[in-house]
Amino acid sequence: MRRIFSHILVLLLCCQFAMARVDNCRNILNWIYSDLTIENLDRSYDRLMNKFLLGLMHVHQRTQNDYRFQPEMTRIFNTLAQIDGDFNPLLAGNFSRLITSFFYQTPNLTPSNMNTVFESWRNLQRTSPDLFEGLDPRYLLDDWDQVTINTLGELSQYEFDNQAYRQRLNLLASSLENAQTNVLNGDGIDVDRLRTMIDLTEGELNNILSDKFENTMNEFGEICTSEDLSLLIQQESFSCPVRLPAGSSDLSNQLNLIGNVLNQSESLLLDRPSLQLGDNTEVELTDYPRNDRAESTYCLRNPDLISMIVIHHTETPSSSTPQYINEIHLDKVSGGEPWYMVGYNYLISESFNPGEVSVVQGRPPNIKGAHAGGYTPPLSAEERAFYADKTIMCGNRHIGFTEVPVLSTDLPQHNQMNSEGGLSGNLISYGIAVVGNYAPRSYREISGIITPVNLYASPVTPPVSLDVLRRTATVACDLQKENPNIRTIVPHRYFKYTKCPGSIMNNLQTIANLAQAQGCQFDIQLNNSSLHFRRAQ
Amino acid sequence: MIKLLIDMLPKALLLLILALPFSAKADSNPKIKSLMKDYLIALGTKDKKKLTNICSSKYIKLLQKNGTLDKTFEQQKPFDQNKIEFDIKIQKAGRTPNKYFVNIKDKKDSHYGEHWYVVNLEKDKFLIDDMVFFD
Repeated sequence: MRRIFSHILVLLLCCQFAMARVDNCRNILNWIYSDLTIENLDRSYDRLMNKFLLGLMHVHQRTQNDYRFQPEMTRIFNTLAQIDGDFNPLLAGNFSRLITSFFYQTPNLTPSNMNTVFESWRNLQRTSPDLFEGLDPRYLLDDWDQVTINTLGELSQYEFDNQAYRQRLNLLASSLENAQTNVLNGDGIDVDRLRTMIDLTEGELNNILSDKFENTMNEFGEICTSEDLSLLIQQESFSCPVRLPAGSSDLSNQLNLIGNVLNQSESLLLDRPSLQLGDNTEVELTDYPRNDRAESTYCLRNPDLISMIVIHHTETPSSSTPQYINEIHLDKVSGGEPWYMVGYNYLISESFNPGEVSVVQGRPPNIKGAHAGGYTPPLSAEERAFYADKTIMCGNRHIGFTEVPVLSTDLPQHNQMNSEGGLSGNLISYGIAVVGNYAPRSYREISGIITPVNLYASPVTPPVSLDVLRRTATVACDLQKENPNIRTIVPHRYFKYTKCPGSIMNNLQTIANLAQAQGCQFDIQLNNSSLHFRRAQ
Repeated sequence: MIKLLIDMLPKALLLLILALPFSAKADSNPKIKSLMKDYLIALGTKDKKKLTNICSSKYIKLLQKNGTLDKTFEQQKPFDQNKIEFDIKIQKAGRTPNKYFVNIKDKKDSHYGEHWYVVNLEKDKFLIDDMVFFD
């Protein structure tokens, strides 16, 4: 930890040195002094690290060392392996011991590469919350940790070499002094003044420090104040105590505040979290309650299995929130099993962020969807060969997970094949649902009595806005860029008797054309030979 | 003998607990079917008052929205109340207690539709409360 912190200190110096990047420096200084302080950066990093380790051990236990269905997990372990080549061989051994030794003894651990790991970890939390089921929520990385991660990331942008230490130390000493004084006086941080002060003191301090800090910063186990630095220089000592100016009520208040913030970091929710999908799609993330019952199982899949996109409409008012749709789906039961959560993978919503068309993540993409039940055509010989060695993991945290070969019919409860030799549409597709009702009100005659259905329909079916089509095309295109196997767009009615996706059905070619303008190529398939076969029967 | 009874008691209780959901299901099915029959009769006879007894106020509002109920009434033809027959599917909600999804179809139809009535059990009375689209 001390080594890491030394790195942080050095990188902070680098930051100060690179005054051309004033904004970044100001942000970092501002953050350290007004919100976190250096001591709390240490605490925050410890907190972040401990949470990460606990989470890592939890996920390791849950997945039983099988990360094939978690590309993000693979990325994390690859990064860890790059940091230390012994990581992967050791992974098979005592995981807890490995983790402890790895993080506290690895010489190559720097804020820069750990930042990559933490970023990936936070993404994993968002995309695969199933992995974190059962983990105390306090151990999930939160927005406060994200601030720490971001700051470490900013700090780590500045490369340094030994030769530059002297100048950087000069800058640190003067800038810290100035900034600290300003903050304690209740003033803001004046970067121009900092620069002037740095210029004035640089020459003098440089002479004093040049010999002392030629090669390494490692003697500094803790952060020094500028006053400490001056004392050290005079005494030619390199033991730097943690020392904060005493008697400052502002500082005490500030530290108390920070303590509260650390304890209630959830209150620091900044922006609504989102994920970047491909080049053009920002996927909004939202919290969904899930069915945490033993009888509600789900299947983890490798995204490589996906070959098509299924277009739906939710047939709810366009103002419906993703949570509302999740609530409906949580009550749905298929084959005696309550659904795990919302069945669609992505929702196109005009109300999530009023005034814009948003893409909201539904069921995480690595979990088999629940939106395309019905008939699928028999697999071709080529498709059978592709799926022959593919497996999925089905179960939940209560009953554990079973690895199921995709083409196997041995486990009826997890069978993915239909009687005609077709593969589950839910397994091989992403479901994109446009939130809204694009079908007309209709009536159904039952025993000679007319009954109305689709009660949420508008008097006139609304036209599908170009923005919605464009957004749908962009998501589809970005999904294809991630996985070139995805080459087909189908309407929901490809699989079964349904009016879904309403009048969007007439716009599928427009979606394909819009995607083509972004460099993607999709086939539109409206009909399914198996369905026709069934209809004929 | 007493010891045997005492030994059996937990098992008996367990069996009772396990059997309860089934007994509830067995009870609710005919009641829900009867409710849906009443619903059809109320629509067929254009009986708004009867509808208010078997549907929640939320569902009534939904029916009245955009003049749907009036248009439904306009289309009704004479029918024989004694010859009402329909198929019914009932699903207990996966999570919410006392909530059922109900789908009905004409005996002659080959398949059910994708719209499900939401029926809630409120104070021992079943009420049609909503309609959802399950695709």
